[in-house]
Amino acid sequence: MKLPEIDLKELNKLKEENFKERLAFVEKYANWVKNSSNKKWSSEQKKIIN
Amino acid sequence: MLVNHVLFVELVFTKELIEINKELNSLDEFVIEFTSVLNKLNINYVVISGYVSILFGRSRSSEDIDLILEKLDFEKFSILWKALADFDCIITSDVKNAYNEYLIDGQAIRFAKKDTFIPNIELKFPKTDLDSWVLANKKEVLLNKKQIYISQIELQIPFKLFLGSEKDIEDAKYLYDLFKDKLDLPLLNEFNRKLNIIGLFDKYLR
Repeated sequence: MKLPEIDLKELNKLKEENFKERLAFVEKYANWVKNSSNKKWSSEQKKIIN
Repeated sequence: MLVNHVLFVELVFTKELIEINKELNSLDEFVIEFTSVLNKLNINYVVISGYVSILFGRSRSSEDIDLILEKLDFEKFSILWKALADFDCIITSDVKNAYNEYLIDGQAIRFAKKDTFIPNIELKFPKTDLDSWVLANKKEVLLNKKQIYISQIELQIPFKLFLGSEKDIEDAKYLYDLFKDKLDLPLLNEFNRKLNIIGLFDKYLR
């Protein structure tokens, strides 16, 4: 079986880009929490954690 | 009470205190139940690491809650052990063993609700100057009027960056985005410098 070529530099770049996208989402989410009532965001959080 | 800063809706942030009312999740209830025992016994402690982000709304869960406990003598630790009647130590069931072989030796022990394994509280005595600073400079949180002590946010953010996993960096970014207008930025920057993570801070949080 022929294995694919792996470009570690490219993979690391993609990993870094993915991570930056997730950080951008964290920023959006933090802004949503800041602008929502505690009841609203904590109710949503409870659904995920419980 | 003098309110210096009001952050997002229904959250009060002062130098000494953060007061928040929210719908509690199961992890919040677990932490409140455990720390209420420490509060009743007047034992000095600080909750650190991931739960601090979850407390303020980060949308993830955790299987353990990290806590630094003041160094107790064996007699006081035995009193605490008995008071934690609704919890089991999942590392060892022997109080002397927990104290001498783990805590005094610098290792952590874990407590979970009886007949469960997760979530659990990972508890240790202070080992470093930084641990001692955290205990001496703890921040009070009133969560639905229940008292919990956490580490200063100005240290929590740099320390998460220092830990450096993607999850840790996301936690750091979340806390920074929430509190950046209210933080003691010179203190935060000093911890960034001491932990040698200025580059990470500039890259991901600024």
